[in-house]
Amino acid sequence: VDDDFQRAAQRTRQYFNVDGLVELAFGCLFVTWALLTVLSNKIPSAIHSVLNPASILLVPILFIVIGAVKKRITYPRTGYLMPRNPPNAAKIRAFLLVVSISAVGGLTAWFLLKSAPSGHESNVDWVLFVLSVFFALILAFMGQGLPRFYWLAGLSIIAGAVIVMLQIPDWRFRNALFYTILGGGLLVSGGWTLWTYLRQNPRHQEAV
Amino acid sequence: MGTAIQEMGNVDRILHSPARLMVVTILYTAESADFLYLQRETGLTKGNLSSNLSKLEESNYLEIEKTYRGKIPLTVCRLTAKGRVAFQEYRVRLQQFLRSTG
Repeated sequence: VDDDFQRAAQRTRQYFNVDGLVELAFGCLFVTWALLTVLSNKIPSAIHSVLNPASILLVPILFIVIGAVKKRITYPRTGYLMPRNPPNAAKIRAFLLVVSISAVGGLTAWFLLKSAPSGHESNVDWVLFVLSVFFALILAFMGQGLPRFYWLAGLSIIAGAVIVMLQIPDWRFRNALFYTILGGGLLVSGGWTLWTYLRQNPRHQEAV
Repeated sequence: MGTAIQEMGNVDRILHSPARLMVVTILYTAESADFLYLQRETGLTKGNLSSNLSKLEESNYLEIEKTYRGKIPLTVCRLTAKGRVAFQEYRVRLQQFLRSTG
């Protein structure tokens, strides 16, 4: 009974990712970050220093856009579902988990940067790997048990590790390459999911 | 054993129907859902789903809000507090019964 109920609850949570729109939106975000990183030495540093943190603000905007697109694409096809607001205890647990992961990641990155001997960037390289693990954890959480999100999480870790091992000298190219690979993976996964979803679910014309 | 079986006689008859149980299980795990979503997830026909939703609404287990999405009528359903409690109690009772007979 409990297993069936948990499956039903998980299915409800997974519905947000049924159409691939989240992956497409975040894929666009990562490609934007890749472009910003590549162009960081071509645009004035004053503008870049504003653009870079401002790009984080795109995340809440993305969720508004995703909601608007879902109203046109998803809800008329497979229906509207509002996920249950988690209880306060669960929200606090999730917040503490995110803070803990961010703190461990941040401290690891700080330690790697601080312990790097001058002129050597090998430790700095590992910051990218830490970042790739961080993104992998976010993707695994977002997927709510959907296999394709585990593949994307694996892609993030493998891309991070391979790029570190390649020892690419230019950090801009290194980071941009990582964002492009992850963004590309998200776009392919989201695009395929959306295409499949649209094929399998024609729009309902009648009233519901 | 006999007691466990007799206890099942007191089970909530409103929820103890496959169609209504499916609807309530979905709505218990969500804040609200529309008619189309419930129909697709349960596999019930429109008429069957509609009559079961009405029964749940009559028992005050369910709130039905009729709105519009653009020009298309939209029926949004959500469990009431009474419905949530009833489902929790139903689950507990069923688990106890299965444990005692398993």
